[in-house]
Amino acid sequence: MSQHSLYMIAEAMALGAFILSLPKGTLILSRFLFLAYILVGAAYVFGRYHGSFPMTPMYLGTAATPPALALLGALWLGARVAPGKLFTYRSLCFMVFFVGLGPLLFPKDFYLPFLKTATFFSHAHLLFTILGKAAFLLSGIQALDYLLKSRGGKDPGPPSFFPALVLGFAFWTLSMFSGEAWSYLGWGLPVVWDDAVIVTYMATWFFYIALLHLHLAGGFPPKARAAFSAAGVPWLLAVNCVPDLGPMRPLW
Amino acid sequence: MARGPLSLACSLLSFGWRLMGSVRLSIILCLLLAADLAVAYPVVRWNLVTFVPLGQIDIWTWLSTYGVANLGHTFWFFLMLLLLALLGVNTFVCSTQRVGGLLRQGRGLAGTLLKLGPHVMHYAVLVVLLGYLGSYMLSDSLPGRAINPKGPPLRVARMGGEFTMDVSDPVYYRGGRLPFFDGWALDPGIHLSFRDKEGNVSRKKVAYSVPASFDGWDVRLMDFYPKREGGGGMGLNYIKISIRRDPGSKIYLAGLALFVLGLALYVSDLIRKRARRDASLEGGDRGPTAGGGPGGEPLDGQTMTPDSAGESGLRKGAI
Repeated sequence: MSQHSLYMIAEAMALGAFILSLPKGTLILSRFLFLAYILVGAAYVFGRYHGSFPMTPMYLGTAATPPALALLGALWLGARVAPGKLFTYRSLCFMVFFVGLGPLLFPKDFYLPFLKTATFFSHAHLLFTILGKAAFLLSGIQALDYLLKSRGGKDPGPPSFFPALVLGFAFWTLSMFSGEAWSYLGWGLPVVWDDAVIVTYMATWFFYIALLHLHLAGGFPPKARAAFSAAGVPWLLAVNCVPDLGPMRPLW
Repeated sequence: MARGPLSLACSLLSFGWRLMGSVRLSIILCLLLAADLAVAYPVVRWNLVTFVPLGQIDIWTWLSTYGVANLGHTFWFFLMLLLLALLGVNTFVCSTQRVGGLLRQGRGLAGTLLKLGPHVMHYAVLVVLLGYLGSYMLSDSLPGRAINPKGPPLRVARMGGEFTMDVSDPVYYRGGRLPFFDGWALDPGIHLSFRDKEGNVSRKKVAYSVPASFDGWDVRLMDFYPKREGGGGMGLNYIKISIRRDPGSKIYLAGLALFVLGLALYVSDLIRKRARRDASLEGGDRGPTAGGGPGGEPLDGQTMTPDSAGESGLRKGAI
């Protein structure tokens, strides 16, 4: 089975999981499909990696983000979906499907081996990017849930989006730093300007530094912080996922 | 009583110190930087040719030539430099104010060390920025040098010596995963020998992402031919190397390591707090002090918001 077919099957599973999560009666089926999606998504990522190793699979970032998001989300939700977390679960299923749609409709694959990626730091850069994107998206989904629960002055309980935010920031920082170490070893430069995508990494890093400081500074209400965290979702999609799609292929 | 000029200057300095140490200013500057860099993506994406020379010439030369001549494409870079400079000052003042306060609290060595995590990260950012500045201002680059194994040695006057090359134990790709790539060189097995003026010879291996150091200069492999086992192609047989001396690189690499150390301290502190809070919840203590902040001390000295006490979503959950 080709990698593309596997990816399409995974997308169909994510869509199925989302649709079946809408009526409460089919929630168990939805959960089953969601867990199966994680396995198929992991098989897809493994296949891409196996195909290109020891080089790094180019442009895997956005295609591997949905399985990573599903995995983080499943770990967060636990064995069963609590009634209070149903919205988060549905959003998670939808986000997994929606983010996965981009690489399916606008694939950006690079089949020629790029030898300079056969180094530890290149692999670390890619893997931390994927995990960072997934954790930021999870944090955004949790923040959206918090905002919806607090409509009409209701008490939504304690916000839960901070741990995923810190996790995402840690992954993103490690991704940027491993990219810089790779850049130093391969080119001797702190920043390689051959690919414009470098500025999008820095943009998102500063965006989330601002958000972390909002949390830590005190004096900012939880709803404002939740709104900012939720805004991270469209930010990440526009700034860090769109450049990974086919129409944004570099000129070289 | 009329205030003297000295007193006025002190008041202004004190006001400036407080202003530059504001966390709100950090947030604004970070958001402006994020917006500036997001706008930069399409500009850089479609004008790469303007930015690639940044890796070859020093930053002042680039700013006064490519930068000024292409302001429509480089405006964001000038703005980024200004915002980074302001953020650097803000970070230094803000961190110094809070480290002073933290040291005065007398928490003991372990407690203080864990609380220093965020501040270590802040100082690390300054070290990284200084390293970048040093790298872009002071690095010395001799790009585009080629060596042919059967040709004459490559003389490099600036290094006061010459290079020769030889090939031993190249590693080729084997296997069916990438059929078209079978037999291509993963590691061309290139060894460079450098003979200085005194006749001393040092021989080191270079490969992609594996630089070698000769007399304080870093030599990197940029390209090589032949790429396939047994030659092939058009019979090309040479390597391209980049020779570079960069005093800033050690500084920014040290800054990156320092940041990771700060991040580790910060995450350790978060985990410690969570464990302590969970222990106190299990013991039935649900008082307001059971929580603690989401990530360390409140930066502006306020009491941490109470909502942060319950942020345990990653471990709660299954119903």
